[in-house]
Amino acid sequence: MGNLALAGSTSGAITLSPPAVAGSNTLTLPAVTGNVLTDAAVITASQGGTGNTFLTANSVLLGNGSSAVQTVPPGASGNVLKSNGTTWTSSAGGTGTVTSITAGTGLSGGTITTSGTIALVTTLGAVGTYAMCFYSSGSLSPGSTTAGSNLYYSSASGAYLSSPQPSGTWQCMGYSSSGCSGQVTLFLRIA
Amino acid sequence: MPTVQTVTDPIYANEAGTAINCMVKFEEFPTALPFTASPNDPEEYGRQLYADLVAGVYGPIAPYVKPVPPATPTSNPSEAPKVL
Repeated sequence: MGNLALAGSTSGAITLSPPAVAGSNTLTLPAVTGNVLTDAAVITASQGGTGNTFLTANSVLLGNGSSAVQTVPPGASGNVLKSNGTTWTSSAGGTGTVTSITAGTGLSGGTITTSGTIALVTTLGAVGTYAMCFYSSGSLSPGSTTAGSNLYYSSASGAYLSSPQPSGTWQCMGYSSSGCSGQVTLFLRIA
Repeated sequence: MPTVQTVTDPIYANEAGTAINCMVKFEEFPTALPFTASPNDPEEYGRQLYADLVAGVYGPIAPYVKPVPPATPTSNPSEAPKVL
């Protein structure tokens, strides 16, 4: 096949109609400096171009329908591309990997996935709370557990209330030794 | 809220029957724990456990046994416990 050259008119359209043959047809553009496809006009999005005369260095391109592509510059150091539900912006990146916080024993307020407050449980006799109690069955070692019915809310001197009594399971967090005020110590409700 | 796996040995914790002692195996603990179930428990699962015990879900409840007061020799009378 020979070369195709234009002469005379400076406007008009050229339609290339390669023969319907098996395989691909290749249009090879000449290695020249200057405008190849058209004159100085930009190649529009609908023509398969960007619609811009140049692209800002290091910016990210965003599709924009049939209009010229948009760009998002990097912004500040540490920024990330962030969606606002419609488009993308350069925004400060998050730190850490925590996705949720569950309120464990003795805490209230969870589960938090965005923002919120974790607080200590302060309800008398609730799981996770401490109580100063008189242990009614003699000695009890640190770390041992006992039923709430064996405990009486008390003063440090051994004076105690017969009612109400705690419910649940309590862990001795001190030491109870036989002998009145010696049977008073701290307990933690664990279940 | 802990998960109750088994409940054994229910026995009334007082003459009025307002509390029940039992051994409860919770999923979160390796061994069964002594537990007092009460309708006045601030924890919902404790109140539910009491209701289930009374309903017989975990078998019959043994009658209350008054504990024997432990021998507490007190050399100092001022240390005698005071019930308010």
